[in-house]
Amino acid sequence: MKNYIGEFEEVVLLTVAILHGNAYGVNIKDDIENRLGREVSIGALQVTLRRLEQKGLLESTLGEGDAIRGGRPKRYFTITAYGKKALHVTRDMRNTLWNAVPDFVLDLSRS
Amino acid sequence: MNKFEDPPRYLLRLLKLFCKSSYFPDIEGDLIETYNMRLVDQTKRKANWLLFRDVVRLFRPGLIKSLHFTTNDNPFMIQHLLTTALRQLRKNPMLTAINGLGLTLAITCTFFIYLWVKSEISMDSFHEKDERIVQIMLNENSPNGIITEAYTPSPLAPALSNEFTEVERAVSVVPYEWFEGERFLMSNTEGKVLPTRNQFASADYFQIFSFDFKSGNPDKALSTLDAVVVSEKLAKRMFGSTEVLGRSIEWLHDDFGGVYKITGVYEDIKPNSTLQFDAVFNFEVFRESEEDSPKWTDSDPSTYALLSPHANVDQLNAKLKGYLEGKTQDTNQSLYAQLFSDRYLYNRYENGLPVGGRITYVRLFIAVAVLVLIIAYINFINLTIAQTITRSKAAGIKKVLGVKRWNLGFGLFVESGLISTLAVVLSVVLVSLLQPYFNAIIGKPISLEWNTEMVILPMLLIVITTLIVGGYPAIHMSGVKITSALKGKAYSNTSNQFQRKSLMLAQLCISAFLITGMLGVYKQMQFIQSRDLGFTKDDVIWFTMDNVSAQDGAGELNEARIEGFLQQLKTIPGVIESSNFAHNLFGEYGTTTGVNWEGKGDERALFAGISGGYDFLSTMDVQLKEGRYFSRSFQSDKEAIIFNQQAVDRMGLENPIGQTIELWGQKRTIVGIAEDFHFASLHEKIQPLFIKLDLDDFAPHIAVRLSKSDQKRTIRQIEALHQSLFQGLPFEFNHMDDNYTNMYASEIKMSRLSTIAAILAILISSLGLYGLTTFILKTRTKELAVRKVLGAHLLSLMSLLTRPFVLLGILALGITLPIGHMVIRNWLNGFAYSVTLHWSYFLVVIGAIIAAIVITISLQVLRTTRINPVENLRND
Repeated sequence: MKNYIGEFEEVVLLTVAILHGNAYGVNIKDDIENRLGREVSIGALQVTLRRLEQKGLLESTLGEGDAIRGGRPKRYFTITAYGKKALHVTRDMRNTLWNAVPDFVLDLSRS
Repeated sequence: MNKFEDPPRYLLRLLKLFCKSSYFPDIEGDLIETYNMRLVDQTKRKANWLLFRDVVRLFRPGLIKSLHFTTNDNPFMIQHLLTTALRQLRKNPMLTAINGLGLTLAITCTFFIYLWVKSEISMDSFHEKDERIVQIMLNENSPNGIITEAYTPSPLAPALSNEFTEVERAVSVVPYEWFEGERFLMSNTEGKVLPTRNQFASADYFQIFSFDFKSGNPDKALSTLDAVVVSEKLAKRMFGSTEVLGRSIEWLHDDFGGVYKITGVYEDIKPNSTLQFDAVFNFEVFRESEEDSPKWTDSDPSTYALLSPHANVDQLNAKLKGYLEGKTQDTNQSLYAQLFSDRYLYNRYENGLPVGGRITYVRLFIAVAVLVLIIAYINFINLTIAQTITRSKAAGIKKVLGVKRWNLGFGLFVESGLISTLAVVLSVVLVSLLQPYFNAIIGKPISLEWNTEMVILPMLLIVITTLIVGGYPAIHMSGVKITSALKGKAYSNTSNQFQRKSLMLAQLCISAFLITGMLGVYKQMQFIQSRDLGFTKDDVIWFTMDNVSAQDGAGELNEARIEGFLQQLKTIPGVIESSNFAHNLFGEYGTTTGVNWEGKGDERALFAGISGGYDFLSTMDVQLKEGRYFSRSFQSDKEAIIFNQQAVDRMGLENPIGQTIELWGQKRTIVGIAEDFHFASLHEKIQPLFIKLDLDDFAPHIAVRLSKSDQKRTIRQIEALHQSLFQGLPFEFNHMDDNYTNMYASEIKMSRLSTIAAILAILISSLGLYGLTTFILKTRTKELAVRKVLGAHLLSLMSLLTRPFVLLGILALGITLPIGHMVIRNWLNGFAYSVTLHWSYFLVVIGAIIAAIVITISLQVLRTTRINPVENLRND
């Protein structure tokens, strides 16, 4: 499969999916930071969003602006069918690998 | 929630500068939102800082704008720009010519100055180990301050390499100059005799200095006493071949004479070396000829040291401080190490440290090049701005049609780019054509080598010129408002005029400044040439008697031989007077504190000393105030002495004639007092001086004063006499006044260059003025015609048009003259004797500037105003 996605890309795609319909820059960043407890730089996030959009995994529409944004529009991202497929492919790939690992190898109780 | 706050605008602008415009609005929104969220629990400062960090982190390949220009979107755009630019240049051929010519002249001037500066800076830096070669200088406390000299104690070099870890190796060198003009003759032992510049150097010499060898081993060539290393040129002239390794060559000399074996041939030394010599002998040969063993108190050889790879000059200097005192117990002398390749540029010393010298002239001429370039740039900018008035309509229409500001300005860049390319290409051609003349002016052969640098420099000049010259008008014109442009009043006339006038003022100031400087230098040069020196330098030639060994028939140079030669000289009809001498009167003199007189206190008094034969003073026309010259009729004159007036004043002697003083512990009777005369350059004040008699080979030069008539014949007779006494030895003579001129070589160079720069400056400014008036007159033809119809006189029209420029000129003079005067005074302070700048000197500057303005303008005003007003008014 040609279009495999990177780890951070997967995180962003899933977060967009989580925030369904309310996924724009600040929200996505906050959600990742709160949920995963890792710091996300706005630059890294923006680059990833635009790249995913260019690859066709995300699409976006410009929405209304808020007062708190000084009237600047929000860009809402939604996941495309292709994006969904990519996520599924990624998960399947993971599962295939997990299933192939003998049970005891990754058992946390044995060290 | 807090009140909404706008983040600092400049940070968002910064983002806008690089962020892709389609991404920008929502990213900006995100940033503002985050900023306000942060303000809830953070200080404003912190939030600002975090915002800045975010902006910086957004500078990523995925988000920044691509860099290709809009013009490239359409290949026809480039073509269009070129066409319009060419059309514009052709439409105003005069303006194009003025701009092109001005730029060409200025860039040519810049090129030459660049070449000269480069050759000055690269002096002596060709040695491979350049960064590590230092020369040790000797600082000597004298009553007149510290004197810094290149001649150092002879045990110094071995001591340096043995005792200092900072020094890898050190050499002693006795350069040709040390022998003060003595002529060395060498023979190929088959009868061919040539004068050569010989020097002595320690065996390691060629391991420090990189003179490439044609043959022989540079590391071992000087290891034996009978070894000699010669230049390729000398080998060719002597033997007709450079394959001379192992051949014998004879030095005809009383002290160093003998047959030497050639152990190496080096390639001819290029003019970018201050070390110039034809043959190198082992330093020990010189050492052995000296009667005394090496002492720390003597000062014979120059000492050069090669620093260890990790040492630097400062470390060495720190160790050298007080080092000599430990050796000699003499507190008056100390050593100072200076990077060898710096010595050429920093050759003036004060208080034992280098303070400047040639570097001053280098800096000066870089400034001149920049100033001349600025003048030419201002021309171009001024004329382009003047044109924008007529071109603003075109600009307005283009804007209506949707041409972007950038593209509009780009058009002007294309135009200036075309002209500056043309100018640079023309300058390169001019430089290669004029190079021989330039070399003659600066008295230094500078070769044009077409290396990468010589390709990059013109390119760079094209880019810089285009940016400066096109930039200002491009911003100026592309910023035009559409409506006002179409109405035909795009630029308020006043602001436009103000810009133009201030640029022009700057131009006139520079011109006036350069003329002030040039005239000041010129006046001083005239002063130097016409100054009464206290003796007559004209009509005197001099040459050197050769101190050759007896086997060549000429014999040792002693008192009897010199006297015999002088007696025979006097029988030649054209010879008025002649004498032998040791020091010429052009800066070669000895100094000593060894003069003692009755009533002298403990102080150290510095005297200059000159020695010559019986008739030296009368040959040079030095006037006596009291007493008499040395004379053959007094046998006792070998113990006599003559002082100058300064010396008498210094010693405070009354009725000095007949009194006895002591020189180096020997009693001498004063027989004459000379009027003060300039025996050194006018930079120096006349010092107390003694003149003593020397009749033997210590004073081997012969000065001959010739009668004015038929000097060529007299010189031929002198040569014949020389030939009869010194068979086969070449006769070479010099004119005394050439020696005088040589003292001022750098001043003469500066005078010539500043004259050229000043002429160029005024020429280029006039060109610009000419273009500008043509342009202004074009816009005012109707006004002038109406004035004429109403009965205005030609003269009043002239004054109307000329007045603003003359006022500008006067303003420029008002600004510049005081500054220029100060600079020139400062330069003149370097001379002990300098011209007093009469007020008429400023009159010349004022006259030159005003005349340039009036002549340039009135030519055109005359043409315009003489046209029948009907011609100009009929059109409407």
